[in-house]
Amino acid sequence: MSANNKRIHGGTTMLMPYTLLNDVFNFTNAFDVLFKGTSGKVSEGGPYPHVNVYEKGDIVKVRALVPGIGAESLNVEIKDNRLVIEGERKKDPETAKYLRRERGYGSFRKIVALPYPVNGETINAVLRDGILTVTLEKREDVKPRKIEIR
Amino acid sequence: MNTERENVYNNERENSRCVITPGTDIFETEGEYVIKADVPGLQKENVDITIDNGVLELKGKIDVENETHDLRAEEFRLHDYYRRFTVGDDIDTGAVKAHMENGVLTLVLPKKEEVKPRKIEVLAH
Repeated sequence: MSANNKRIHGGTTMLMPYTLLNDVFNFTNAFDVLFKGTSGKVSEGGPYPHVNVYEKGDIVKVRALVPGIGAESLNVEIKDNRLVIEGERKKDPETAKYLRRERGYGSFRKIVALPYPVNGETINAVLRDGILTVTLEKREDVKPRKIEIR
Repeated sequence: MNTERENVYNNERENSRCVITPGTDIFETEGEYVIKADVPGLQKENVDITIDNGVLELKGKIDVENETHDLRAEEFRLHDYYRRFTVGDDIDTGAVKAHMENGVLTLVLPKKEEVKPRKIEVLAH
């Protein structure tokens, strides 16, 4: 079974068929990769879950929509200036007779590029009403420092 | 002072009252129907569910403003939730239960006693 089969499916995250147009629209992206060495995208690793990123001074806040996922099924970590959100939404009992099925299930992984290195000790993650909020602080050694002139 | 982006956003918000149709699963067991809807960001006290004339209406009010000020990347916005379903007359409307957990609303609609499957004993003569 390929990794794709494990991705969350159904709901708003249906897989799109590949078309040549995708590459045409990704043209600017290709330029970013060539000249900046990054994809220029804020997030990667699949469309689910949707995230918003807020930045104010030395604080970055990432909010993700993860309804139906308990804290025990979520894993948040920092890897090379990126925030990785992984988790799994469990299936409801298969034995029931479904009249309508729109909600997705399965495992997911989302990678969010952070604007600067963050302090691994002060990360704060809160799960409330199906929204995960991760608050990160800029690392001390990259904060601007005032130099005294003697 | 508002930025251009915020002005555009605020106008958009005033002109169109956006409503989200929550993704929903409905399944049936022997004794009940279960409706599960994804409503992230919705608080328990802002949920309004009515069943009237065979129509179940689900309303959820989001009372927090979408933060726009320090936004760097936006993949979602929160809006009020609304969805309606037609329900059969085999439901015991007085016994419907609802609960919220992790941004998922679960409604349990028990079937009326007389429509539940009943096992008939075969009597030996």
